[in-house]
Amino acid sequence: MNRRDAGPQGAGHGDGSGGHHPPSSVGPKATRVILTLFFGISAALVVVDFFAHRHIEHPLENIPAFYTIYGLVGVGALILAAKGLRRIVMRPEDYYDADE
Amino acid sequence: MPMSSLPPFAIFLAGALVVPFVRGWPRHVLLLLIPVLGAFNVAGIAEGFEISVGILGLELSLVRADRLSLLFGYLFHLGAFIAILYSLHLRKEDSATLQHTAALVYAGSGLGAVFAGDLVTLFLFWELLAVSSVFLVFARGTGRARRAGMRYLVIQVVSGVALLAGAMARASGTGDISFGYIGLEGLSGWLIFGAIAVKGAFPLVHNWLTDAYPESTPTGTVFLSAFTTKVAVYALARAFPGTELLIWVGAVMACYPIFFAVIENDLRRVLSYSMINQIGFMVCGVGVGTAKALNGAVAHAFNDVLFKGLLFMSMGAVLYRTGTTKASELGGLWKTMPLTTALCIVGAASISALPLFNGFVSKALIMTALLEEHHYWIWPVMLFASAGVVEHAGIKIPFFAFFAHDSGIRTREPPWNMLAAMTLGAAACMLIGWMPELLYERLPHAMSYSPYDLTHVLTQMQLLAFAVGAVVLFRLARIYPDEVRAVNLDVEWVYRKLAPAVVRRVGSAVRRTDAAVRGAALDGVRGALEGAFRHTGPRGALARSWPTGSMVLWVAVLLAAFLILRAF
Repeated sequence: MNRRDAGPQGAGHGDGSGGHHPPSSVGPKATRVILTLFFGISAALVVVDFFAHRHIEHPLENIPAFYTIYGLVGVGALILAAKGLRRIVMRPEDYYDADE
Repeated sequence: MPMSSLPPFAIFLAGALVVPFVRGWPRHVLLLLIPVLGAFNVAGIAEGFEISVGILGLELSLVRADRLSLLFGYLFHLGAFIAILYSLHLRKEDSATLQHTAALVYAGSGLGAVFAGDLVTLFLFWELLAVSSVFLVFARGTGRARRAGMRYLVIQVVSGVALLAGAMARASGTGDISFGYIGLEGLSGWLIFGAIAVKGAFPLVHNWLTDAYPESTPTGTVFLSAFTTKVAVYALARAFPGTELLIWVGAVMACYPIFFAVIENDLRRVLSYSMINQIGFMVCGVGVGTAKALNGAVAHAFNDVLFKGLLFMSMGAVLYRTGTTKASELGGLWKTMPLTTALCIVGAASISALPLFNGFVSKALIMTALLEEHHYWIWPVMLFASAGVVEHAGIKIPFFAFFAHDSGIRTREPPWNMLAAMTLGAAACMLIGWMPELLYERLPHAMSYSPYDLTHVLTQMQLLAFAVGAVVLFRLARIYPDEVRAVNLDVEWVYRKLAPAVVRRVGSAVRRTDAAVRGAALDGVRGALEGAFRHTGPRGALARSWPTGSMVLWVAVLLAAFLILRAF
């Protein structure tokens, strides 16, 4: 039985050049619907924060819509820091193989 | 003898003895029957149940059941059942017998360790965990897997040696080998702590996990993710609850792996880093040490086996069908693997602690406990780590495997048993998410708590939505890091690159010195030989045939010397 039904076709993507982006596996229409829905829910979650009474236990929680800011800034910083980390730690895929 | 008096590990170890001799569907039935029989056995074990044996003058407590060990007992049976179901399709060319047998011994060792009532019994199962599980790495059959497996084995065995040394130091100091609260006191406490630190993949000693787990077989990694590190969390909860150092260790553990997870290309390695991040939450909970925090730590360990198992299973299915889990090679698989995609998303939602999924109900306990104990500096750190989970496990795993750009790979769903195992895992994640009291009732400490109040649900939804929002915005702005075929240096660089380089350098220096010394000695010998040749060789002064006249002269000289000497 051949379990490898298909191999990756079309090499050369994801090479970090960033110039050419292959087509998305989700159509543009569906993408638009999903993104609209997502941004709608996100906006609603901010609006709700000004009406709902949430318990405050940590001083930071006094900041309006604290969790939304923290989530956005936290992950934004994480991604940027990780990109920076790549400059230091990234090596070719066979980096260790030569020694082992 | 009633069923309930069997040690839980015995059923698995006995099964491991029989399974190699059974083939075909009877083996499948037997494999599935082992965790089911085991579960009935454990269900019949009451709190306070003990089995002790005297060996070599030691009183060993082979089984000691209390709420903590029983919870891990239930968990390991559930985890073993799911993983066994997931691996039923294995064939001869997958080293099926080896993998099935090793997995049974491994699961049995996990059970042995969590029911061990003394440090010697714990040590035996601690080492058996290492020795049995390494075969699940070797079974992949690649050179990479063999080398990663050897590194894994060495590190795990060192952990066991530290445990044994700690146990011996404790026994000689206090005469006590029972496995209860130990604490960071004296050499023995630190040795045992160190042993657990290695097994729990604490910072600096964590790379065995990210090294070996992604190199194991598609099915092997599912077993690996269930037992070793959970035994470590159990041991911490047993021996070091309330140790403040653990709060800090847990915070570091929860944070640093997520940076590596963001840039890692191999999705099973992303999950390995993610695993360390989740253990960080558990370690932190054990460090806080209150009833709620400890409950949170073990509840999160319970849930982690389910959702991390589910995620590893979904990536195992991708590996099985496409031959790779590299994000740079994958994408668009939802078209041909829709069920696997949906099940992976359930796992992603669970680990992200989305309300109504199991990660939410256990992480909430730890976060609440942190605030209750006024750990105001740690709480934001753990909140950051929670947002980071969404990025690498919640979004990255399903997105790059099943969506993103279309890789052109057209495949199909994995075999029925893989799908069934994933469905079971997903169902368990959702069931505990909907009815957390099912899990809460079985936690070690009594408590009244509900994670589903307005504040918790709202704030968690806000955090998750905007964590996802950051990823979406970065993707849209094209500043999200591309998936690249590469390795990222971590602490393992020290023993995979630096140490071999040092050994090579030292080796070549030794060789050079050795060559110089030998050269000098050879020169000396050669000089001596040449000297001898010069004097005694065909043209040497001492080899000349002397004329008779000179002989007479020499005799005369000798006689004269003799006479002169006699005269005095």
